[in-house]
Amino acid sequence: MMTLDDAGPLTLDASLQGLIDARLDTIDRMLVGRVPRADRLAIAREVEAQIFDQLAGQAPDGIGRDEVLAVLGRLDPPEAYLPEDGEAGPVVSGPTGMRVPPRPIQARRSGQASGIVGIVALVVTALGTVLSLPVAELFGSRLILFAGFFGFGFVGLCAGGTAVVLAAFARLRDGWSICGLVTGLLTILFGILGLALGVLFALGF
Amino acid sequence: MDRWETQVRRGLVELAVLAAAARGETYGYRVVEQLGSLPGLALTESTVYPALTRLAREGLLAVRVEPSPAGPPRRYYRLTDDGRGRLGRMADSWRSLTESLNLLLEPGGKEPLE
Repeated sequence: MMTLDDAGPLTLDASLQGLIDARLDTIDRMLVGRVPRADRLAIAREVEAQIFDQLAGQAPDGIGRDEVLAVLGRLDPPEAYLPEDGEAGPVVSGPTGMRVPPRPIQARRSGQASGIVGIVALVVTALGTVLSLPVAELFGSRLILFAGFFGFGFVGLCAGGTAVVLAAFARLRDGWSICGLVTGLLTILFGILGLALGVLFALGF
Repeated sequence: MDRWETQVRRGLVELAVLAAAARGETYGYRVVEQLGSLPGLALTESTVYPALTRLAREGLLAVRVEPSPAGPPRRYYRLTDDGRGRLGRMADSWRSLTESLNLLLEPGGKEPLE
């Protein structure tokens, strides 16, 4: 049975509140996947407030299970919160039947960009680092050797790091992003190797 | 026919909710009672509450939470400046639309291209 505190709001027994909570939970489930969580909570609070408003309009000494069920029966059914056909937001069905948001197009593009940047960076850094030695010998210039190692090392670190960051943004959910992660890490290794060789040559080894 | 009426009402829910809020600060159940009692409109809580929260999220309604004598705290809604602007544009569009349709629907009314 209900208790009515003269100085405070209406309170219900746990069993009666449980009936209301079950209805609110069902409405919440109807909205999952289409409505942001904060909005779902706000809608549930509105429905709960309406239920209490309607209960408060009744005789305070006669509110029990039947009265709560009668109020719940006058509400829209939870299915009414489902959108009409074609009104649903951008959602797709997952394997468990839950509605999950589709993968953002930015993530797919990041994955592709990660793979491409990683491959190009690896080729450029590896070739540049390896070819720096014969080119420097050809011209007999230690400056070319030093600049080649340092330059390609720096490029490798920057481009490899970019590929890894893009792969992480794409959450490694496709082949491109995994390729970007692997080639990005290899490029970073080549970059570190190039910088180390540059430092060694700068020190006269 | 029922489906058409339902879709028309759903299409008008934002305009109706903003118009209800334009009459002064109000709370959810009161909006439901207002809009549910209007003949032909008959909007219910499953339509009104999602619209209220959506409009609040878009910044067209400001929300204030106050304790309620009936139970859980009430959320009071007030039209913001953006909401007032949106309501004005929607109302203009609605008036223009109904005038045009009335021209077509009046028996012996004016031909659209005259």
